[in-house]
Amino acid sequence: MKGCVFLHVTGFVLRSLLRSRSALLLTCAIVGLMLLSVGTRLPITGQGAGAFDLIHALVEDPSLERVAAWGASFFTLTPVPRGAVATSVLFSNEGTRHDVSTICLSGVLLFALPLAAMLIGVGTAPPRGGASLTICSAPIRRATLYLAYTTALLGYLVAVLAVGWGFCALLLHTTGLGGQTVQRQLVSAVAYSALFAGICASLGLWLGVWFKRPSAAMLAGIVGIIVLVAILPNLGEFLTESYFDARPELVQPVRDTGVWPSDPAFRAILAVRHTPANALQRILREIANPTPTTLDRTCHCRVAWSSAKAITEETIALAAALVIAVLAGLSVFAQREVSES
Amino acid sequence: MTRFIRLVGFFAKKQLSGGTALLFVALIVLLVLVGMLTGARMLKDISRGLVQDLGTPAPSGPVVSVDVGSVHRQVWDATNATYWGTYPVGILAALRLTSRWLFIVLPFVGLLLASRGISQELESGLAQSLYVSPVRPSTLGMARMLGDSLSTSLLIGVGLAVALASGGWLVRLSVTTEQLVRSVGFIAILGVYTSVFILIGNLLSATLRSSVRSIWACVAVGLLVFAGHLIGENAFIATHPSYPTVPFPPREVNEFLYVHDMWSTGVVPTVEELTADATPVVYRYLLELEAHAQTVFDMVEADYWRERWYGFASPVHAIWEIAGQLLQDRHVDATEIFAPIPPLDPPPSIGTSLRRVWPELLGMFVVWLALFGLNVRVLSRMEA
Repeated sequence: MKGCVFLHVTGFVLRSLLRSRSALLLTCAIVGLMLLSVGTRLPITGQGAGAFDLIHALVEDPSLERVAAWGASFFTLTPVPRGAVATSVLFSNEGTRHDVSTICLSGVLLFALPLAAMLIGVGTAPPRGGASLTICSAPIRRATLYLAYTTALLGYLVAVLAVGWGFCALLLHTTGLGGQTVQRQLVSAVAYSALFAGICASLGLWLGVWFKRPSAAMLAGIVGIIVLVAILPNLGEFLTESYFDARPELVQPVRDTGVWPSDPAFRAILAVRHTPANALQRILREIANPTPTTLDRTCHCRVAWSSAKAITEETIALAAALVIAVLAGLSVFAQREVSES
Repeated sequence: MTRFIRLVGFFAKKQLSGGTALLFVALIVLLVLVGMLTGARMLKDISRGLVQDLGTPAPSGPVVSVDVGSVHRQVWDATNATYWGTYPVGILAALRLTSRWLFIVLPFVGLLLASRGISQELESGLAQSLYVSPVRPSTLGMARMLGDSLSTSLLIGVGLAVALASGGWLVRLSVTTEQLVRSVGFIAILGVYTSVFILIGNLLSATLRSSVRSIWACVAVGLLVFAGHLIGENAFIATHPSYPTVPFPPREVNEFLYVHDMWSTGVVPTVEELTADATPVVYRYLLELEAHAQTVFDMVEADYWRERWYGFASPVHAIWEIAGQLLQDRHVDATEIFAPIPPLDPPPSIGTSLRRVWPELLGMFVVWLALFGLNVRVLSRMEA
């Protein structure tokens, strides 16, 4: 019976989401941006694996002094293939840079998707005012009610991303680029991004419950997204570099063993490095440019499609962030007084 | 006139005291500061490494590696690379590292700051009180637009300047007066850029008359700006001809380079030593490199001008072009980074760089004026 009520509320919220014009607008924006980012990069992918290589260019005057300064590097001026999968250009513009480009699918999934998901979350939050009286005094536990809202929201986002994925896959298939590797890259990029979108939507739902005015909740959410997406990744890098600058003796052991230091200060830095946008950024980079395994290096073959092992930590971080976002919203909603509405 | 000035002051104070503007400015300061600290630290490590390895600043190499991208992007990346090779790190290099984020974030900030202004006044009843006051609606509209956009742009400009100054002080960036003037000029232009989006946000807020609907519309406009940037960049990459590869050095040149390789010998060769050892083959190779650079430069210039037109459709591209010219002091035009010419000494003035981007600046000013007029018209005709 309880399950029935839960499903009933979930269905009700899903129906209202499907009827919402603003949610439709954002859904179209997301699917459109996904299609645009993949579609406009297809001609570049068609240029083959070389399209991914860095271009060596001469800058300023090639004087004797400057050419000599470049030294032996002139011997290796021909572009060296990185062994990356040619279709990686579809997802990322950066060969080796520690950055996610805003003009590729990675950029859309990392910047535009969380914004839209958060706004949909705020728009879905249980209403205040007169309607809240009905909702909060309904014969259903607050937790069940809130979880039904969250489930409906996450279900909606998964459906939106599935539609986006479907169109992109179709586009790739019709243009003859729908090989197994690229399809797997696309599926995993969209799947991990769904987790991130879920976190942002839950954040929106939580803010929608917390703030009395939806407009204030939206602004707070946008501030949160800017912090999450634009500030924390750089902060993580900066703190890590500062930490190793202060302890140069730790650099070599970390390089040799790949094991991070275990003192509390670095644990705090690791927490910043594993905030959702940071984690997704690393996952997307790994999907586009898989780290070569020892076997790949030995046989000089093209690196295999990203192994799940390389991104386990990041996946756990994303899942944990989703749980935290849902629980935070739940605790705020559970404490909400009917008179407060 | 006094009444008008008082009204401008009232709206400016109202915008600033809301807290939202301060919050967003704090965010921008944080964004620039963190980005700059990270970037500047990295740059400093690179250039310090060069000096530590050789004991003296080495001349920068003539080859840079750039990613696949539009010509604007390649010119931007190549200029960044030449600044990275210099010691000590300058303020322009640090500003270049962080500003590209701002081109996308600032439209969102401007739109969202203004999105609730008028609609919230209508919802709270303040607009009704203002419109029954003995002031002409057009005066009221003009005062509001000036108060809102000027105060926020000024606040953002000051925030950016504070971020730049504190970041520069923290990582001890080198700065000359000319570079400082360029940085301040660029920050002022960023203020105008944000102001354009504040005016769009105000217009949406006045037209839609609901805070929530206005925020939705502002986000949609922000996403359109993002989409415009994405489409333009990818279209340019797809239509961009590939450059010829750098001519491979003959054996004799390789031997010459090997003998004088400062990275393996640890000694920076003097010009006299190099000239004495260089054979005619080496000089011929240098001429070949020069011819190659000229070919690439001609291709870059042709594409660069084609790409500039897109700036009229995409604000991100327009501000990027302005940044590309203002945040470099090596050449008269930023594209000349690919030309076989040495950097100018003394560096070009800010006036020279501003003249290169007059179409973008004029376009931005015209759009600002048009939006200002449109806002005043809508506000004058608005019924409380």
